[in-house]
Amino acid sequence: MSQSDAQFPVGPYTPEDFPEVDVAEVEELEAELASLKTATYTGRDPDHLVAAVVDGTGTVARVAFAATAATRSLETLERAVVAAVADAQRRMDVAWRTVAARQLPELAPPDADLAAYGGIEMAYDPQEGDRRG
Amino acid sequence: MAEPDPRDVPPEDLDEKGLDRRGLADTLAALNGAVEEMAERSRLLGEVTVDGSSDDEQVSVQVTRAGRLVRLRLREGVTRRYDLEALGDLIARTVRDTQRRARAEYDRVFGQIEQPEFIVTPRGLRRAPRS
Repeated sequence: MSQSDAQFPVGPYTPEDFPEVDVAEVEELEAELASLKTATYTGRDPDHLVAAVVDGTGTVARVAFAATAATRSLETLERAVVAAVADAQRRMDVAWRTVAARQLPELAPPDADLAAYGGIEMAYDPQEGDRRG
Repeated sequence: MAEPDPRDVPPEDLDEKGLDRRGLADTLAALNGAVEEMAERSRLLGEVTVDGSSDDEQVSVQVTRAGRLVRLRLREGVTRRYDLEALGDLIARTVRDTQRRARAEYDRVFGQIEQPEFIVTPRGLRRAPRS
């Protein structure tokens, strides 16, 4: 048989072709992933000088300085912003992985990230960055 | 005498249900290999950095095509020109605009990558030789 004669089934498939797949579960996962995309994630630098908010794609939506930042050097502020954005993006990553890992366990975030993950933040309070001030 | 298998599958490759386990394993290996290859190329493309700055050049940033903020530079005296709230807004806008440009660049370059191609054989999918 030549390759052009091959009758290997390549789709299109319907859910009936995969009776072992729970369609409701897949739809629930899709809805959850969609909600992650519209959520926002807030991160902070270790000294709480800066709070950064990213959207579900990791794009920066907001940067807010604590009042105590006014007395710090430019270099300190630069490092704090980079750290806060990285923290926000890490929280976003953990949120995505936590949901996706229900179907693909190998995507589960490391335990240390899970411990730091406080859930999805749908609202942002810029004053939170000033708690330690 | 048994009918010959039209797929020419050696009997040792068939499981007890007559499923071509070797053909399926090779198909999965071809698919997984392609996915891993594209993931690695995506990762490498995403590490390339893109520079950006605010219109007044008080804030300059470097982000990766994957959107990670690598570096932020504030011009000396920027805190006299802007209060902290306005400075935060300026930084956010500069990073965001650069991230969007970087992602557009990623999409453009990734779209130009030669995608893995497969051929359909009687025993499943196989990677097509690169042209």
